[in-house]
Amino acid sequence: MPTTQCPQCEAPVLPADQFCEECGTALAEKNASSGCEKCGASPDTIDPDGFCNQCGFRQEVREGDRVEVILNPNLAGVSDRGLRHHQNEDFLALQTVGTAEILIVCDGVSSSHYPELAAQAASKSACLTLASALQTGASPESALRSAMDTARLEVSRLSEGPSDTEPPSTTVVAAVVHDGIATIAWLGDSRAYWISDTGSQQLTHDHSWVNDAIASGKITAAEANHSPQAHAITRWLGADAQDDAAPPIVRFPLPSAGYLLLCSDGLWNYAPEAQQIQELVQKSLGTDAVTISRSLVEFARSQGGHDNITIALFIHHLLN
Amino acid sequence: MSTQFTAEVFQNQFLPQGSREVHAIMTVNAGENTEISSSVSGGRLFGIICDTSGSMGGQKIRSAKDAMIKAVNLLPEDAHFFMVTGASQARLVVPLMQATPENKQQAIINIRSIEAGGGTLISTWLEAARKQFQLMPSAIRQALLLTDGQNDESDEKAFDRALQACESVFQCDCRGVGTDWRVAQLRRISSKLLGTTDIIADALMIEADFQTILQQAMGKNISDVSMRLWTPQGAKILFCKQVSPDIVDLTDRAKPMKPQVVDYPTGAWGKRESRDYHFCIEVNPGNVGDEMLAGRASLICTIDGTETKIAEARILAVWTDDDAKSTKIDRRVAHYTGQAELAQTIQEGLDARNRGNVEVATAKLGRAVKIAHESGNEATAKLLRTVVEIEDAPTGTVRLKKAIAKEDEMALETRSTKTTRIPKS
Repeated sequence: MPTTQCPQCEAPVLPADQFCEECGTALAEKNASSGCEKCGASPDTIDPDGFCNQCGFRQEVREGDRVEVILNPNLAGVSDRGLRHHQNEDFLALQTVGTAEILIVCDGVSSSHYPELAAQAASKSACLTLASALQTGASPESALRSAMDTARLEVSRLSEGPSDTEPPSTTVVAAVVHDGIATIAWLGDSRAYWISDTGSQQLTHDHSWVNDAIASGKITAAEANHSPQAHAITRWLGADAQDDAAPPIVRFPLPSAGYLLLCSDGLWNYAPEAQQIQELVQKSLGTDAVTISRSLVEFARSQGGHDNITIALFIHHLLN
Repeated sequence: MSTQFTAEVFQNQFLPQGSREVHAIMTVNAGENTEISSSVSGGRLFGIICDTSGSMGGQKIRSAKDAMIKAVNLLPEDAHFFMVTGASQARLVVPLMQATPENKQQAIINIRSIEAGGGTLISTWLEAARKQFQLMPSAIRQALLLTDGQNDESDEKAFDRALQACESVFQCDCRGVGTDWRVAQLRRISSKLLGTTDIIADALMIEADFQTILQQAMGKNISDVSMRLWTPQGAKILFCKQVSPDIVDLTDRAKPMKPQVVDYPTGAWGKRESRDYHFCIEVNPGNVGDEMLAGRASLICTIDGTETKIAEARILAVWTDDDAKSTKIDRRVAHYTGQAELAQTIQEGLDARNRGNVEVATAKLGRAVKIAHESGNEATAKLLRTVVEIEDAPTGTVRLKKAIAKEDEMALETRSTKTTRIPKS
């Protein structure tokens, strides 16, 4: 792992350090924009696979910076660090159980401790619970409820106790597709979209300060979006989350052939409307799930890649 | 939801320490349905440019006229066409028109009136054709040029200028009838205008050849496609060649688009068309363990001023101290390196033979026989048999034939760039 120096006092610092241990200078921005190690090109010249668009050399990719999961041509996902964050705090999980498909995307809350561990724990535990519940014949709704419960407990266990002021936290969006019906549960602002030539729509409703503010009528959408709190979420998985409130669950019969897309805000920040995502999917060079996922990630990076970007995609074909 | 082009790279990306040269073969396949939005809505324009100089008199001009009439009859009604005849001056025998039954009738009447006479100033023919093609700039624009002789020496400079002006205005296949024309001259046209050059030894075969060309031209449904190659800073493209279906060196056709990016024109593509390209890129060497993107090759088509990327593939370099990995040569790279050597060796052998250097000619053509044999290039092997007696193909032992028909030699020269593919394994 390359060691770097604090620009202020020249003390050695680790790439993941947000502040210099010696003098306290903020390093996050510095680390986030470290760019090409070979030629010093700026970070936005690094392509999604880590190749520098200037000198061609590939950067050492830290584990988890880029994760691709390919289950089959119709079910795949990509999680990418993006260009500005120093690590990938998103995670995803995919599984096929009999004739059911499971898709999960989690986005660790940056202001909490170890957000990447929270996202990983939530994705993995939710996926395992969903799979075993579905195998034993549980309905997608009840499987999702117990999966969310398990995930919340697992994430809470990462907390160092009541003294932990910012315990590890994450958003979650989890979907089960079975018998042509998508059942989706979520907390926070990771989203599910239905993308189809015959009509695309957002299936989830963000638990965010913006939405709450607009719903209460105190503020207009335009004002809310410009507020410093615009990205604050109001619900999440973590030790400090209210454990009695069940997550919302929607049931969506897939009306046609199309795509079920789960994503973190690293993507939808650049394409909030379902229609915009549909256009991106149509422009993709491939027709399989991983190629489309990659092209969506590439799009977000081309727009600045300010956040981690995670996509989980299921392609729904109609049976003839 | 997406285009039907696919691009695939074959290479051994592993390089020994300090090595700088990266080789890769890229196979591009156009799918069943290559039409990209409005690509064919611009229409198809086919032009025939026919030599009517004095030397064409007699059987040649009669056959050429018959062939043109057949071609006109075969044109689909939604296509557009025109005809230019050329001698010391060009004559627009059939101005640009749609291939409706009435227009075809008029065109045929005009063709019947064609007579041979005069010199050969090809620059004027190209100019006349260019003006017609400029009338339909968004159509798929293809031409066929037929001649039987050499361009007048006085036309040299004008010819160069005219050819330059025609570049990217239209594509042109060239056919030489008889044996009095020069391969190099027609190749200059066809190579600049992204077409082929071939010999029609017997005038009676013009008709069949025209039909093949017309059929291929009408099968194209996407025009003005470019091969875009990105290379790392400090890298040098040593060569870029199309290697299948035939060898065309594109290296000098590179158009710089921006730093590190060049475009090579590839012309029009038809459905199910497949071409292979060989890239050789010199890069700054990395350390053992380093991985580099040595090139990113994409196909770009421009429709109504908007560029669309229709396929992309990546060329990699990985430096290793494992000799077992780095010494392997990708079999496609090896195969096409052989095919390129085959074409070059034949050219050198024929040149040596024309200079009367029997020894060099025998060695070169013997080597060519050996490569053709090894790579299974039966078509080229067959052409070689018209100029040498083969004693043993595997070792390349040959004797030059004493008497060679001029047309056989020219056929070998024009067709030696045809390559074979290696079977998929």
